[in-house]
Amino acid sequence: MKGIMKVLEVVITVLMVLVVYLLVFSSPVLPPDFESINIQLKAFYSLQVLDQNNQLRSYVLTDNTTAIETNLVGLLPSSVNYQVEICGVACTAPQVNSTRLFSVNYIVAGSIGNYNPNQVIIYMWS
Amino acid sequence: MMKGQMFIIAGLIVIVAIVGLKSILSLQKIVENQRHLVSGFNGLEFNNVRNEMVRTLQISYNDSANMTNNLNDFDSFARDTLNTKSVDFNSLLVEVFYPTLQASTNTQVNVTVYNSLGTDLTSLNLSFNGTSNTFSLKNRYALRTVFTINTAVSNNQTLALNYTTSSTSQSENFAVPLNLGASYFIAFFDIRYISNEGQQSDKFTTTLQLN
Repeated sequence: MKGIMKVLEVVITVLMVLVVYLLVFSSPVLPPDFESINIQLKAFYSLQVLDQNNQLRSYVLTDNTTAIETNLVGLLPSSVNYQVEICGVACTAPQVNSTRLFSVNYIVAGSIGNYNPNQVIIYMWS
Repeated sequence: MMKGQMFIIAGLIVIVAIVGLKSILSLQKIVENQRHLVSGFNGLEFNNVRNEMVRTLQISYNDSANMTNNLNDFDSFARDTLNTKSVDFNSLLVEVFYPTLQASTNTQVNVTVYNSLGTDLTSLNLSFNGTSNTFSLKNRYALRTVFTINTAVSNNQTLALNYTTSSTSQSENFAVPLNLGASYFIAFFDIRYISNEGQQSDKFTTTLQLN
């Protein structure tokens, strides 16, 4: 009788460990949420492409944030709201009703014959 | 009775260990992935600053008198901008300029060193064309010195730079082309981008013939 109880307790212990092991390791590993970093990368590459197409510097020179925002349509996910700022060192972030605000900075030294450093900031929120 | 309980207790310990192991493995993977992505993003920012430093010289091409000022100013701009994002940007810039070089005529070679390494240079030695000068240079200050050259033929000279800070000693050599009938601006960059995710750095030279 004593032997049977001992065997029963061993069986219960093994079953407990087995069930927990299966529960913990059989659930699929969820990919971490890196959405904001991926969007930041997309935004940065978008500005880089605009620069390579010789558009960004003229927009910065004329302080044309609307043109930059128009060029970003279709490049950033539609679920993301964004606002472009052109400024020097001190920039003011937009007042938005969201706890998830992130941004990318792209520095521009100026254009030929016109040294005038500025940064283009895309503020994004969702 | 006690022996039976021991099996259950041992089982519970194993379960705790399994759950703990699982959470450590997952957390480690997340942190590694995030660090990798953020580090890649920092690399893009670093290259942006690096490319714009070279571009500062290109866009100042027709204003050679202000090349040095513009480059030093851009360095400050980049550092102040990155500081707002908790990134330290440190640099040492050495700029060499000489006007059109005539054969067998004394010509002044202007050398400017801009120290933005985040620390004072307790000793800074510059050697060029057989002449050597020693200075000290505070952080975020620039010094300008002049060397005189007189050559009958075009050739390359080496500018040797040795500096000491409170924690390190460093030597750099770079070639200065002395071409008759030409004016040159040569800039040596030692730039460092330091964030919570790591450090990116580069040393490079840009040579511009001005005429």
